Amino acid sequence: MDFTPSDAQQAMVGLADRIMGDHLDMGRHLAVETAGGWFDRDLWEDLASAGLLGIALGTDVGGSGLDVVALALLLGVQGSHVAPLPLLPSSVAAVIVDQHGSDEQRHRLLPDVAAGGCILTVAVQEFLDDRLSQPSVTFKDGLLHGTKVVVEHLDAASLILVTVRGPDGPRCVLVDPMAAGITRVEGTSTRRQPVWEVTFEATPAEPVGDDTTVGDLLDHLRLGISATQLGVTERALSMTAEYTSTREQFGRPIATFQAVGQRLADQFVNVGGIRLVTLSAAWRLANGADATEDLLVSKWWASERATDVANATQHCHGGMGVAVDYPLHRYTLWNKHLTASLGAGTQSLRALGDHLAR
Amino acid sequence: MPIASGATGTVTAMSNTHRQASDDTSADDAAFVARVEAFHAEHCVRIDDPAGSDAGSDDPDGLTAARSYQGALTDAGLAGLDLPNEYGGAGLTAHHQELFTRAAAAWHRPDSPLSISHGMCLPMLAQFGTHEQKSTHLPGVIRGTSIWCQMFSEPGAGSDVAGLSTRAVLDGDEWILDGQKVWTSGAHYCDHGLVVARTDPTLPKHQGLSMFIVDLRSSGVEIRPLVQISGAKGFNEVFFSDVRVPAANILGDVNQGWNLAVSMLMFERVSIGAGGGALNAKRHPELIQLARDLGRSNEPVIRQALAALHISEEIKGYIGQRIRSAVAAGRVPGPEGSIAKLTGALVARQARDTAMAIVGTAGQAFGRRGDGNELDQRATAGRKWSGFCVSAAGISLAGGTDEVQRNIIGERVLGLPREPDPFKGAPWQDIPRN
Ligand SMILES: Cc1cc2nc3c(=O)[nH]c(=O)nc-3n(C[C@H](O)[C@H](O)[C@H](O)COP(=O)(O)OP(=O)(O)OC[C@H]3O[C@@H](n4cnc5c(N)ncnc54)[C@H](O)[C@@H]3O)c2cc1C
Repeated sequence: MDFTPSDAQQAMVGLADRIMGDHLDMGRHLAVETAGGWFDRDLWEDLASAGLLGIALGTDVGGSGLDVVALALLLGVQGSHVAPLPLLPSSVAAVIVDQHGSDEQRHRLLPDVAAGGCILTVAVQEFLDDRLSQPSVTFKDGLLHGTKVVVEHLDAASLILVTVRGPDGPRCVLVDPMAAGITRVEGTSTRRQPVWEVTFEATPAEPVGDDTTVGDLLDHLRLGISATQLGVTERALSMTAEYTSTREQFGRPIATFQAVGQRLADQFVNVGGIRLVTLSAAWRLANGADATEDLLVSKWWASERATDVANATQHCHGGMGVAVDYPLHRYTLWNKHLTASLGAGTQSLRALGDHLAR
Repeated sequence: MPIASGATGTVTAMSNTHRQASDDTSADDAAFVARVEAFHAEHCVRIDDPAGSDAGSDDPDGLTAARSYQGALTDAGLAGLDLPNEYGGAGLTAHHQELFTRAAAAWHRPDSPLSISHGMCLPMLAQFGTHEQKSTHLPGVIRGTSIWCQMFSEPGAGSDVAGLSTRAVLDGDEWILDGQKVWTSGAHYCDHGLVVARTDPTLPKHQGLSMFIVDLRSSGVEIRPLVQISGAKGFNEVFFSDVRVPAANILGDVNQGWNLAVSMLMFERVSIGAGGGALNAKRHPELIQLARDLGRSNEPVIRQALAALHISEEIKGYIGQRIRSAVAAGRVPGPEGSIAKLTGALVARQARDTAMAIVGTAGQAFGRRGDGNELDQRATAGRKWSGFCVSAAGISLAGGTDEVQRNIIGERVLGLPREPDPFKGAPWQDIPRN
């Protein structure tokens, strides 16, 4: 295992960081937030033109042929800029289609995903059942029945990758959001993003992959969430280091109070842990090794420790950490959203316990 | 470790008071409690009734509800309990206030928009106001027709509030106020503010401050609401430019503002950590119910978190009771206020984490359009606790941060040596600031 990014990965990270950094200033964030939709389409197009929307897809379908480690690093960059984009659900769904779909499906869908024209989203969460790998939405005779929640970017997506229970067990299917029998209820997530409850009643769907596909989708989503949180926490911490070094009270920088400095040092250790468990999980996934344990560890660690980082960085900003005029609040809200994605830390802990003690 | 002897004495005195208060079951007390209960049965929803909720101060309906509750309470002779009739109070005692707090804790009271006005400004006015000031202002404050806010923090003075730079200069029989306050909770709906300003920059920082009663509708006052991370418009920036304040509106004496500020911070800490409002309601009963509703009450991890929260809330309850008993016995709370406030902040965070573990995925949801299916219960719970989750951090900041409380406990309760201050005794105007 070597977590040093390759030259190709480093170049990709540098490019993505420059594009997002140049594009997203405070005014741009406000403009996108005011417009609603939580989606910076111009930035999406810039990323598409730079070839960053298909980095982990095969070269035969318009991708760059890098692995999911590269995708994890890219999601980290998104997190560090808190960029409102459908990058996580779309890229993960595309990787699943690439790895599990038929050749026909790959060639029909993926070139357009890499080019930025086709956005994918995922529907895996259910309100009344936290056992993600045992979905209760049914798929029988080509038709879907049931409800999914917290579906992101439904308004922008061309297709939804849905986890379902088929006659032979858990499966993934693709659904057109405009298909018959779909009702949607819009809500708002903690990070002010529109999210939907989607109910299917005899909705036509197209199967993708086999009995391993749901597990692989969940694995990649867990990775994507932790990778995004890595970027979010790393940047929140560096912002806080800078703020506390310049903010003065009692005639000195507040970072010189040991209660502040030591708490931030603890957060550095937390972020370092998020980085290592996330990259380890990514490396295992990319190399076909069993990553289940690493992914549960990383989801739990990222959830719990990212919450610590969010609390500490917010607190050390004093009132600034509570006001929306100051950029830190986005990092706090993203952390909360991501921590609750696919269930809070306790759910990962329970799943990990099942996995270890079985 | 040497424990300051004063502090030990304090603890003993308070526990005695507490015992007396809780053993006192006279018929008068029972009749009074019955009145409190009858009033709330008529006007409020019980805390364990899921239909009830405490509307935020942000909401105009919340303000109307607060005013009408407080008006009715005043008409019923149940407001300003320990204040004399001549100032609009009920003419009873602090002991009645404690009985009220305990009895009323069982109800959702829509008075959170008044918490600063009543928990902090009113006791200041009652304790330090002149007869004139009390006659003019107390009746309206008690009734809630006049709402007050606390104006201490500035962009350059938060934890180091004594370093503040808003200036007040005497001009004939008026003070002229210039400067900026920030994070002022409720200023956007308040009538008056208690403002701390610098009246003598040549004195050391704690010695050149005074406290003023400022009419927020005076010309030269500009209030700009700031949006909080929870989405609420809870606090404000307030700008003073050449605001003229009548000389009679000084509270206490000139350059005695720091002593008053410390008293007010104590009232604030007691109010945040041991007050009777929504902030101090025990949260574990509601969370236990939530875990049952969501089918998670059998999970060992959740059960342990709930048990731990129960323990913390019991202890926090005792700390609050001890302080309120001391107040009921006529004592002005000292650094115990910091203990209550710190405990309150820590327990709020524990409740937040427990709630998030219970709501799980639903904790992602903030709001939801549409209505009428069985998922609503989860969505509503998710939304409610999500809101609590993102605002809980504020409890660790407002009224002095956790670190500031710990410093006070270290120095004033444990008697640890103070942190060296290189600027001690220097005139405020000679201290560098950014
Ligand atoms: C929800 C909310 C409501 C508020 N309402 C009001 C109000 O109505 N009226 C009002 O006047 N103010 C109000 N405040 C302001 C509040 O009192 C200040 O935010 C608080 O005192 C901290 O000041 P600051 O924000 O300037 O942070 P700073 O003082 O800049 O502190 C930043 C960080 O440094 C730490 N720090 C600072 N000094 C030390 C030290 N000596 N040792 C260790 N750590 C230290 C702090 O703990 C904090 O984590 C409110 C704040 C909030 C969040």
